[in-house]
Amino acid sequence: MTAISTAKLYNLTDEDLMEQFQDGTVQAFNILVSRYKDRLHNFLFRYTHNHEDCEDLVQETFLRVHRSRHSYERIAKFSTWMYTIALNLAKSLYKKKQRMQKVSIHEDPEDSESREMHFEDSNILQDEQLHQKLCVKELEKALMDLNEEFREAIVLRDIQELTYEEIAEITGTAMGTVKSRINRGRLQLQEILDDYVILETN
Amino acid sequence: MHNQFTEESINDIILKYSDESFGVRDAVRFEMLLKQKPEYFEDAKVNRLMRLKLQSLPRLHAAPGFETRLAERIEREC
Repeated sequence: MTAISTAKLYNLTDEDLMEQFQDGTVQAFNILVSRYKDRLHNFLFRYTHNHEDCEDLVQETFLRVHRSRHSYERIAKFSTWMYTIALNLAKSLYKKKQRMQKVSIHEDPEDSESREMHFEDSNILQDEQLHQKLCVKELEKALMDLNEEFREAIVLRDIQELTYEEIAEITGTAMGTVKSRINRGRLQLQEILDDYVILETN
Repeated sequence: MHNQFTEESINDIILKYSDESFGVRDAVRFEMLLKQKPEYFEDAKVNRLMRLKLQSLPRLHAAPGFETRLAERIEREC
């Protein structure tokens, strides 16, 4: 394959970039990293709830993409292939953490990085902002309390905005199962949030 | 043809109600479902609300210098 200019690389699909990378164009890999680094952070943070572990997992995912570039075949969508790698890594870390930690995994006090989360609307009133932050915290906490299979389907659908077909492929389950998990997961999420309200009012 | 809602088709309709692509045809199916099984209205509402809430969660970004750290790690380990 002939060398391709950087400007042209940016216009390529993920799959084309992967092909370029397989042919030795490192820049193609860098573009894939810039396309997916934030999305992977959003995905993997829901498993780690710790910025350091999250970055480590994102790095590990890209590292595996880098190492196994020659095993990637174009029949699969690049993002589906990459999310499968990320999900497997997340699952093993989550299991490891569950085994090792008896304390809450909702917030890691040792996470030195205190990056602020940004809201879309910067003009909202301070009180409202505080309320919104509390709601976000509760929702994130509820997500962590959710059954693992429900959580993975919900995060892939509602946060990563993947299609049901993609989720079925990544999780290795039938589409009907994915839909049922999303439906039941959202209902369970509401129940967990309701429980928080009851706990707080008592 | 009508009125035989399976668990799978109920799931479909409920999820459609929470999706942005909810169209006229979906609205008709949704109404048919509610006529027969009004108890699913609550599930549909919760589904829609939860999707909206989750979609509005703040999006995280990779910390500055991420690419450099990754490149260093690749250099070390690959």
